[in-house]
Amino acid sequence: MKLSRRGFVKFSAGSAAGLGLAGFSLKALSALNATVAEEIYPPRGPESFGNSICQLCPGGCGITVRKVGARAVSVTGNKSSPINSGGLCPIGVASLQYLYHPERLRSPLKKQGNSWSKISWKQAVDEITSRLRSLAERGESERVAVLSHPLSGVLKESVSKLLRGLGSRDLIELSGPGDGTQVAVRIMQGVTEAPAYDLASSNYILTIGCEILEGWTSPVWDMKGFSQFRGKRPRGRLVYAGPRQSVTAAKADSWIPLRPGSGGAFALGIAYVLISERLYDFEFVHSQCFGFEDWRDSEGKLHAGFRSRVLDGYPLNRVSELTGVAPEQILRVAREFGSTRPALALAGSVESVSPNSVMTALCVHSLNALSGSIDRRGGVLLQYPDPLKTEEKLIAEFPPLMTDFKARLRFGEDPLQVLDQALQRREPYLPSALLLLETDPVFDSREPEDFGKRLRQIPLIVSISSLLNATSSLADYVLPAATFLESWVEQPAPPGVPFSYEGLSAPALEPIGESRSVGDIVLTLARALAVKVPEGDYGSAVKNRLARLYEEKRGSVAGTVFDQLWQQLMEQSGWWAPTYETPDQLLQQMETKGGWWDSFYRYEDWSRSLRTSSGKFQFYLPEAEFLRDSNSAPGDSFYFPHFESPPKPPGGDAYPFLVNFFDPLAAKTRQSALPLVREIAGGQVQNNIGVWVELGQEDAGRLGVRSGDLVWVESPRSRIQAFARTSTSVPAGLVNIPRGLGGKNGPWNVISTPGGASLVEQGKANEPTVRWTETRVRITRA
Amino acid sequence: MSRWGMVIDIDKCTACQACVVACKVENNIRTPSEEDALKNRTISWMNLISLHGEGSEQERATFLPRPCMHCDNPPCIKVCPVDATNISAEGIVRQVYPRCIGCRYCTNACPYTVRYFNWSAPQWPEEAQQYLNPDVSVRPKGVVEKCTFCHHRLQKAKEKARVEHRELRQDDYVPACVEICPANAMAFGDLDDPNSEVSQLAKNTRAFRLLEELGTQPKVIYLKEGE
Repeated sequence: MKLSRRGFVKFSAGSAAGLGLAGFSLKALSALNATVAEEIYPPRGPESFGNSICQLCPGGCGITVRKVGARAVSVTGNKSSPINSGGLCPIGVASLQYLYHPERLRSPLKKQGNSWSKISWKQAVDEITSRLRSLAERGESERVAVLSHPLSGVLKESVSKLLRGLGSRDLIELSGPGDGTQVAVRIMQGVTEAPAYDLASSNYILTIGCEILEGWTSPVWDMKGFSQFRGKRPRGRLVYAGPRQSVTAAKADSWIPLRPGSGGAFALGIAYVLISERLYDFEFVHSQCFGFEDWRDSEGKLHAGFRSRVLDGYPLNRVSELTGVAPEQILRVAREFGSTRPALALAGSVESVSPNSVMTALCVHSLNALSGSIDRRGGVLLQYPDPLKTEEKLIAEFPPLMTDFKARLRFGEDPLQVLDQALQRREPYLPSALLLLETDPVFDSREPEDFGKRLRQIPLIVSISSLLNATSSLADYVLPAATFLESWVEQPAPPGVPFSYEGLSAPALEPIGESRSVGDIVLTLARALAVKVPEGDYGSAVKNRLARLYEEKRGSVAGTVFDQLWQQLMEQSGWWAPTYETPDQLLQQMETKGGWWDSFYRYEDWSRSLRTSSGKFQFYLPEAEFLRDSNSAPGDSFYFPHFESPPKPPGGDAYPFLVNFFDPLAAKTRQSALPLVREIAGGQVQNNIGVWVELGQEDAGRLGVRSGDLVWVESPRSRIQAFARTSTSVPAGLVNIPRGLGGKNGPWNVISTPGGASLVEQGKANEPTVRWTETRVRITRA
Repeated sequence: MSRWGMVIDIDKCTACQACVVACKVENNIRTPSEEDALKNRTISWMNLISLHGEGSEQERATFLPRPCMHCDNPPCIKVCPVDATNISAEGIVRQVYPRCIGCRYCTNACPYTVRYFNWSAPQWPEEAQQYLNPDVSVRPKGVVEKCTFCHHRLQKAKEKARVEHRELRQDDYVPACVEICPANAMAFGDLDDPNSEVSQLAKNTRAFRLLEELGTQPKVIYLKEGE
């Protein structure tokens, strides 16, 4: 007879009680059980370690994989990566669930009717390339499009060449939100480099809706910066102004609740105090800025400058009305900001996908100029360009498929939304084929079902994907991609870091099933189409490219914090002592340590950081013309950072709640299907599966809703189900809803339902803008 | 003899929950089914708890990563009828799963609510079983489990030190949560060693312990926000 462990205890306890010896015998019997019960241990094996670079977000953290036999059992931060120095965010830690996901694809699949059949790689490549060739014969291959996350290095070169071979230029790279701030820096400083904010050395940070702790630039880099900012003495002070008590707001020294969409007005209120109380950096503003004072142009016409416009237009009582913040509070923050150096002002993310918020970012960035924090320690730095960037333009900067929206795409709009509109109107054309590289636009889109249908109009869809996700389910062919843990990885400097960096890692594990790395799949397809691409397999192509770093004669192989400090010291003293003598040694060391970098940064390098037509920081912004619409301020006043109240959202009494959308850290991953990530998404929400809505306590009371209840959230456009979370920190009439994180179909289920973003009204024709700040909803108990 | 303890600097903590996820991966903590999640039966040895201010403090919120406090005077071990939980000579509050009869007295006795009962048998999809850590046993249905300060890492570190004929060094042994922390907000070590980082930090004026007034003498020490 086989007795289960539990059965044994029950049986023993029963007999013990029967004998009236419960106290003593229970103990003895449980001890006896301990000797007979077998503990279940997963299989053992020799332990080893391998390095890789996380690709679940653009952050580029170095990771170390612990292996037992052939299995990977944990992922930690690579101590010698200059980006994360041993730390890792929860998404990176959860990457093993991506590697060993039950929906991992193991062989190429072909859609036949409504079912999938397994095919060989040869058959897949033959069939796909012959269909592409027949498109070329019919003159339709110039409408082949590729959809991917932002690419770089060999992969970008190969994809570009593949497309160019077909006569197409439609490489559509999906970038996350947050580009609005980049646009502001581009306009005001005339630069194309990505801004890098020096949190660690700053002494005062004012974030206006910017979630620095929830996956802002490179998540771990930001967290390290924050930790140093807090750890030094005097301790850095953080003030957060924004509608929601986010993690960043909670970690701030003070949170200033702000009316949604009024961040620009708040920034100008701060500017008003800095100017009127003369708390700005005179030296920087007068020597390196243009448009601050009134000036006469070449025709003798007098223009009012930023100073007079702010003093006239944004007195504190007006700003207080616009933002809902008391004048004393604005005054307090402005005085702190103006009297602490270095001080940083950061603009928000969700808002920045609408043009209004590019203007918000311009208002906020003007504070950085007023505090003299441009290109200075503790201020706004600029990332040094990729040393290996090919000069030759391989492909158009703006894909023709998105041509109508060039300006909008360029200035921070969500490319997926723009693509959706192109598909909807079949303008400028419908792609003849679509190749997806590890992307799941159906899941990411605001309305998965409708977007899926529109995507399905494309005659040929090939998805290169590790998982059978919402988009690959619609494809004609699915090619199984190896994850980054099973591939060579080439990593450019991630957003947010100031230095040059090239990451390199070898596969830490053998690919699962027949999966192959995305790079190798692209090279195979290109060669089958007789397109000339870099030689050898993807790994050797990557190494050949990175070997060119040897010629740079600068920088060093990544190392521990001590190595990093030593290298910085050497470089500052004008020394360069490489640890390698040949390109091969360099590559080998990069592979072991995770990459190469050059920590050197030259501050106040105005010829690099201020490249506008005047060579100065511009408060006067003729380049902002693209933001203008029929409701904009007239004449000159439009060309200065200014505030325009967002239009009043429709809905009125029928839809009493204004929605404030936000993106938690867990929503920043490129793989939405990891249970460990979804489990922590809600953080403080009990039911961590699916979407939640945050309601004010009084509003919730009136609706009879309690924390944890399931509710319907309904906008004029659609409705979703969500768990309610009530909080005293949510003001009446407002609700907070995460944009992504849809789905409630169980933790391992990939195919999912829409999240909060589906509630947002879509722009009208020729107006693709999604005005996130203008959605109203009603809430009923489900 | 060491007395192991942890210091968590809330001022540096970014509430990212990397510690929460690293703990689950290291210790083979099950992924909850939707049913478990809805019944609030999720297991999370390390958990992020949020505290919201009331009244005039309404605009304040704090997040605390909360592992087992490994009290020097633990209320949980006193109620265990079968000695399935006890405290080691080095101050780690242990759980012996095969001895546990699932009575849950300890879960009720713990004022920090860090003990979790396995309401159902653990289930992983076959593929996902591959990442299970061989150093930690998988708990069956019907037993209580809790944070062990990654005790298995201490055993391994001790073995390694013995093989290398040397004393255990401070950095030989850290739990998974401390190792992963991207903000360097957590420190771990011997509280009885006056030179260890933890004992130095424990003297900080910002230091406090949770529910100290109960006399549990927790060995997890927090540093509050501020100067």
